[in-house]
Amino acid sequence: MFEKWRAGFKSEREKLQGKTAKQKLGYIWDYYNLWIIGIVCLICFGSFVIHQARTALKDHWFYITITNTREDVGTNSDLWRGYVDYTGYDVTEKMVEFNDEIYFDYSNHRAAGNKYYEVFVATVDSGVLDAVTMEPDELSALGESGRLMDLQDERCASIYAKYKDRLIYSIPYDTEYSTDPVPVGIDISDSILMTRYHLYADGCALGIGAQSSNIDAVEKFLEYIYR
Amino acid sequence: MGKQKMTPRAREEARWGWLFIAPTMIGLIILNFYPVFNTIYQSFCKTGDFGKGNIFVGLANYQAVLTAGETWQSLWNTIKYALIEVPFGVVIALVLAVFLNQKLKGTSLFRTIFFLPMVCAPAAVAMVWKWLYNQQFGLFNNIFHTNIAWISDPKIAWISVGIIGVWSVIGYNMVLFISGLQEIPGDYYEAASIDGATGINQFFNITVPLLSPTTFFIVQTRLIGALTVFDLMFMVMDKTNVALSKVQSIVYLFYTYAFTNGNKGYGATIVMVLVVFIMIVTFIMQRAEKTMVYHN
Amino acid sequence: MDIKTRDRVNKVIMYVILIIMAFIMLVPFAWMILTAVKTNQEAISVDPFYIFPHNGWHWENFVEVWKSYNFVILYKNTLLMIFFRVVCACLTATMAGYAFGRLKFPGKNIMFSLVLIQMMIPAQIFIIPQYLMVSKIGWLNTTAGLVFPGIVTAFGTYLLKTGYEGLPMDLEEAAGLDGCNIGQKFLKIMMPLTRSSMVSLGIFTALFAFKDLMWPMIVCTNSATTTLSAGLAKMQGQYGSDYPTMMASAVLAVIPMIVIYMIFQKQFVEGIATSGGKL
Repeated sequence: MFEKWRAGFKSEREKLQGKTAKQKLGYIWDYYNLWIIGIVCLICFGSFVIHQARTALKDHWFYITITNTREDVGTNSDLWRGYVDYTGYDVTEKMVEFNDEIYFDYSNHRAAGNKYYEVFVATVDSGVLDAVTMEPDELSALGESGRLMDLQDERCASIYAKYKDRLIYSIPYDTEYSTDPVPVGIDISDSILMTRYHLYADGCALGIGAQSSNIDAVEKFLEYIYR
Repeated sequence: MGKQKMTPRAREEARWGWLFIAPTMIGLIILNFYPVFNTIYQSFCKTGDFGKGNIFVGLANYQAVLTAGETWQSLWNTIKYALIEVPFGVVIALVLAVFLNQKLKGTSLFRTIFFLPMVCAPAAVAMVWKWLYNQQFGLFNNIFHTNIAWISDPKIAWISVGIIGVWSVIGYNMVLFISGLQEIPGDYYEAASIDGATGINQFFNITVPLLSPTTFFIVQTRLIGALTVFDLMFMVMDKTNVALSKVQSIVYLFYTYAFTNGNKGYGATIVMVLVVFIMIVTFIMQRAEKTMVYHN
Repeated sequence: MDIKTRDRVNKVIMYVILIIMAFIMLVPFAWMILTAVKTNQEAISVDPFYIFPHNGWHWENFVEVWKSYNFVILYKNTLLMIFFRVVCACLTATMAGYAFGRLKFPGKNIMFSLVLIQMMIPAQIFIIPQYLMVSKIGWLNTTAGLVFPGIVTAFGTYLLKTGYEGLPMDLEEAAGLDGCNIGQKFLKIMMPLTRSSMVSLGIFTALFAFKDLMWPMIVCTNSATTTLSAGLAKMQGQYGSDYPTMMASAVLAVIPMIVIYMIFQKQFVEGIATSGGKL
């Protein structure tokens, strides 16, 4: 194949001889326009990918999903800024994400068929989501699916110790795990989320994502909203 | 097919072949097959409740799935759905495509209209059909003066869902049929009309055989699509619907376990059962292709 | 005379069937528009014969929706995603389709069964691993991230394989005598002939990209980067059960898709004229 290409290249060069620069360009464009466009696109795309992969932020300090609220508490909101200031996280290094665009209600079975619920599941199962807030009853229903962390786990020992008196329980769907209620959330109805931001009508609760790896950041979030 | 036996030409052809499929195959392996292996692995595990991670359980999931009555019931539901959607969807679309390929006025308008259901918001489609099927206020019961529970009577709900399925794939099949019809050389028809063949004769003697590769493609992809049907069931069948167990497709069952209940290992196992089943169907179809499809 | 009347009768029958089908297919779309101009009170009424709005046609619903949402950005994001997905899909699928349809090489059948298997797997399986990949590359909230799962297409590969298989065998042999290699044959002779398959692939890729809801929702957490379908879903979350607003936004959303389809389907018609060499 290589030999053939060299021969082809030679014959092309012969054809180009004795033409003006403009004719040469015209000839090359006429015969190889697809190749040229393709190669240029490939180079642009390749350098774009490399650039993105090198410069973009990939990790999260903290990712919280604040469901079912019409208030503006997403990334870059006052709440977000307050949290970043409080913790001193460097947001040019890793991300702090507050996602306030998720709407689902597990307890009403409306979650079924709701794409937002699938998005939530995807963030939990991929280990990105660290915490989620919603109304206490809904959080308790959500806990049945095992997507929230069992607060008795040793990883959340300090949170469990600190907020022992305000736990929310749910009975797991998976009876092999436990038939007794498992603590899956913390009632935070008296935090600034309710007193200052009025997120929900019937109280507020926080759960930790089952695959979360930033539990210290969740603890800081709890400290921040009770400061 | 030993490599030493290949002629230089065959070798060059092989090289080009691999070069051409390389981007697609690399993409598919990264984007799709890595997740598939993950799923296969998960199907041998009991997965991550309350942050506990995967626990290897061997074939326990398979044993549970294969002995559960609901697995076979939903597989049967899925087959019944496919038996409505695929034949009706294909035949109606074929007739419409043939009509629209004639020299008629307004064909481009009709083509656009038949395409509209595909761009409609799924929520709108679901609402309209639920409204049409509504037992008390629905249009069907009002027009026919009947009192049928179209989507909550287990005996007929699967037909009602199948009808929505046919309705929503007609446009899809039609676009493919039209593009296939465009590739039939026009002189075949000219020769036939000189011989005095009527429209219906032409249809069966020219259109059907020459269109058979396209038809096979549509039947094959629609069959796979029908056997993995999910969104439609989801939109129309509420969780509280009494006919749900007689209508729900196998992907719906997978979704209930993997997403709603958080039992990913069991869900992954259902997917494996489904994939094996579709692979058998596809294998039979690929065999049938050689005898049933006309190649020039 | 006989033939003429027969033709005319045929035509009338065809029109009748087409019009009935068109009516059936139009129902949900008409319903979307009619709901969009009602008041919410009227929209949730379940009386089947209460089809048209009684208290006047509220066209201002459209204006309100247009103002309350930045449709220009949503259109832009969606069209960019559709454009790149169509280009990528057509490029990779036409190459792979040609190889699968026309060339002989070892391993072809195994590779093609992989393509088929990809179509058999429920899409939900792919989401989480793909999401992790995109976030590791750092493509969250970017157009590249939106395009990511649509770079290759199993459906398109199969579609174009069928297209290439349908072309007459002698075509390629005739070109082979001119000393073209396989790549040149592909570019100059074969690719232009599968134009209508490419057009339908373009239509479907655009359609699937447009309807894809899950992926934009998960990749874009920011309303400046998201697409129409995800933006609309957000609106549904915000407005809850305000049907007229929802339907007005849905109608505004599908308009560009209809325009794209009309542009594409012109290609079908032109295809007849330009593929003359083959006829």
